Amino acid sequence: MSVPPPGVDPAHGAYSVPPPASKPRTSLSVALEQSRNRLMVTAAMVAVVFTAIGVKLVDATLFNHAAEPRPRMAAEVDAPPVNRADIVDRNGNLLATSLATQSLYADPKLISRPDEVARKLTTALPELDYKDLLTKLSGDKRFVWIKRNLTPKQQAAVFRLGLPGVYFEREERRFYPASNLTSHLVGFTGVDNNGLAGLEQQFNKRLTTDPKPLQLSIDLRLQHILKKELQTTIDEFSAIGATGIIYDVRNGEVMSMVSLPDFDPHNPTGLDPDTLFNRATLGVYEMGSTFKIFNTAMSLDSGKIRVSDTFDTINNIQVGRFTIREYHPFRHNLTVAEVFQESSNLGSVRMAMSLGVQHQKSFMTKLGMTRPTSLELPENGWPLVPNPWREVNAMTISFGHGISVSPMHTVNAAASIINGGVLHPPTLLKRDPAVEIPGEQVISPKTSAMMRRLFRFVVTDGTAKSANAKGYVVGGKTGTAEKQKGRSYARNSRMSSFLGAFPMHDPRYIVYVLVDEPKGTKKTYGFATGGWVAAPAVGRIVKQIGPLLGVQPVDEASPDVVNATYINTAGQTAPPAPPPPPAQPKGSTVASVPPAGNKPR
Amino acid sequence: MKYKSALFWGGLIAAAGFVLFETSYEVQELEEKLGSLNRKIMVEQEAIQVLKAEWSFLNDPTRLETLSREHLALQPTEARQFVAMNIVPMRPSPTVAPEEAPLPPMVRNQTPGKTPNVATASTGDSVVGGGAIVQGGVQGGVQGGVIIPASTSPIKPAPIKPSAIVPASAKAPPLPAPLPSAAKAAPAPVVTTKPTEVAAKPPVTARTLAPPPPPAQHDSIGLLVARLGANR
Repeated sequence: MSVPPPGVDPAHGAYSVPPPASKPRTSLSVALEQSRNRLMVTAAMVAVVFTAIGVKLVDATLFNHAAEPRPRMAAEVDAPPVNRADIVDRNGNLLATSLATQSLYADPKLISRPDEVARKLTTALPELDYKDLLTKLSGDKRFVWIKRNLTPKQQAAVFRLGLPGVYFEREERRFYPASNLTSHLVGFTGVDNNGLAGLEQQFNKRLTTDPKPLQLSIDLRLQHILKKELQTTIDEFSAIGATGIIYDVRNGEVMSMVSLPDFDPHNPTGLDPDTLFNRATLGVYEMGSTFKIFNTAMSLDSGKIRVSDTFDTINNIQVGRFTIREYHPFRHNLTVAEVFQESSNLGSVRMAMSLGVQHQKSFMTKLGMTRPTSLELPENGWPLVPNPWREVNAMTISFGHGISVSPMHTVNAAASIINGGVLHPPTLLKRDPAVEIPGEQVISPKTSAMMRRLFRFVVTDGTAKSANAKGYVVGGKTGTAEKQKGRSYARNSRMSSFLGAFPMHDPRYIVYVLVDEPKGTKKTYGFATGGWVAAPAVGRIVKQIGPLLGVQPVDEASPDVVNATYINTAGQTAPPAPPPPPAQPKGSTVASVPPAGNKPR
Repeated sequence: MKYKSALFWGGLIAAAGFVLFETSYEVQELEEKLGSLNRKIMVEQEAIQVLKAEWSFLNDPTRLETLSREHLALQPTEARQFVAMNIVPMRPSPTVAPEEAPLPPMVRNQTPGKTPNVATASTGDSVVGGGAIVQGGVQGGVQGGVIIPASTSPIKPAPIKPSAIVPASAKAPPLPAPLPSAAKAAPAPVVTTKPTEVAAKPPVTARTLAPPPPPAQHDSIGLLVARLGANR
């Protein structure tokens, strides 16, 4: 150890060890130390807090996008400003749309003089009832509707009054530009914009979730033509109603569907239920002779019956207490072709019975006659099918009695009979060309080709000559069913129908017309059967819609057409040896135009 | 040195703060602008929606048919009026006069005597000259008591000399029917032409169709409003 430095007090022997570097702990140094520590702690705390604030600040200003919702970047240009999508027809014409309107409500607590307010409001809106309004405004509620969906003019009138306690609320209102024309199809909505009928009801969810317009297969122009001709027919024959369908046989699209009487979808309440009733889909009727289409197709498709086979059409058939007889008795037996042409009941029954009850039942089931169609309407009728399916039922079903189906069933099944045998589910929505059309083969293409000849035969030589529309090669089948009143059939109330198709050498469209209880007129010699009532209407409709649908008129006497559609009473399909030479009758499609070879000088 | 760096940092902070506030206000202003633009877009879209509805309402086929029957001489196309492309004869050799080429059937039907009055009246006017159009427009406006679309024509023939107008208006009284009556007279001669089944029908449907709604055609928005007001 070193020698203690001189001058160190030996009395301080205890401190002989060298003292610590710091100065001796005086009270001042302790106080200084303490305050420094405190300062450090405070500074640290302040630093922590300020850092936290700074971090939060940076986060809030620079990074945090979701903290406060920013206003939308820009309003979407194509999105409609309403909550319910439009419904348009196949060409994009509006059938239903939503318009923003203002509704008027009041807060009675804020109205000091209800009588004066009520008086002023009734002057601006004369349709309001003063007393009713006064009770509403004097009540204790905080909210009462005064009037929903004001027009802009009415809104301005109320606005000008400047009444305190009376307010507007933006609402939407469904508007149907085509009005009555599509009322049974599109349906209508209630005051809260929920679909209550038709497609508005069926597609309620789709219309409120997807803003894209709902495109239908309906063509507004056809709808108009069909309705016009049906109305003409109703007026001419004093009928109580009518329905019509125009149908694309190639893909199952319903091009037009009208049921008369119809209604105004803007104001559907308090109407006669008959006007709201869709006869085309909800109504099920005994179809009468149009069912011979299916009976004949079934017979030919079985392979056991040929079109030239003959059936007994002279002797009536007795089943229990019923007697089945002809509308007009025949003096000789008829071939299958004649049974179809002349619409023979006895022949049809004997054709069906030679195949058996079970065969008929399974065939009708295959055609979809025993369950509702797949049409997208809530108003879709269940067929009335006999249960059990007895022999007597099979007999009557062969000529269209004893089974009730909707017109849509009939049209849909008939389309499969003439389009080559494929049953497509009917639809009211425009088919996407990229998607394959669903379909099921129900009869052979060969049977279908024969049925086309028979269809054409009915119009050229049978019960429906008046359905002809020159150039469009119309074919079809008439039907007249007596309506069941109570337990028996009423002689004078009928359902007269005609199922027409064109052009028969290459079927594209079915035009179906059904008239409810037509009365014969002087012009029809008192007849009110399908051939007199519905067939002429179909002829007129085909003439008008043919050009719209782009069906090219052809010369009906040309060999191509004749070869594809000819059949005679004996069931022979080969046309007579020399097809009519160029010296065609005047007035046919192209006869008045010089033939190609005959160049003008 | 210390003082300088403090000044530098201080200046930087001040500049940053200034820029930040400036940007913030700018954004606020832009957002307000965006909001008002969006509101305008909404209003326009609603207006478009109303116009679309009105367009469809005015294009209702039933209404169009009524109008067409009143004002035009058109009829539904018939099958015989369609001709296959290969049947149309080629243009004859130049030595042959064009009049001798056989007319297609639909043209042959409309012999000059049978063409509707509307057509003849309008062609006659155009032959006389622009002055006649002016006169027709003025006359229509005076007689009808309402402004009809034809009355816009005075704007069109502006370059015509006043001297050309004077003789035309002097000729006014002897000239045949004014526009509205001509349009009304039009359907009559159509019926006298060989009546086809479709052509013979319109009188029947004319009676059965409900008459068009009473408000005048020019007040389309009024009609729309009347419909909307149908609710209770």
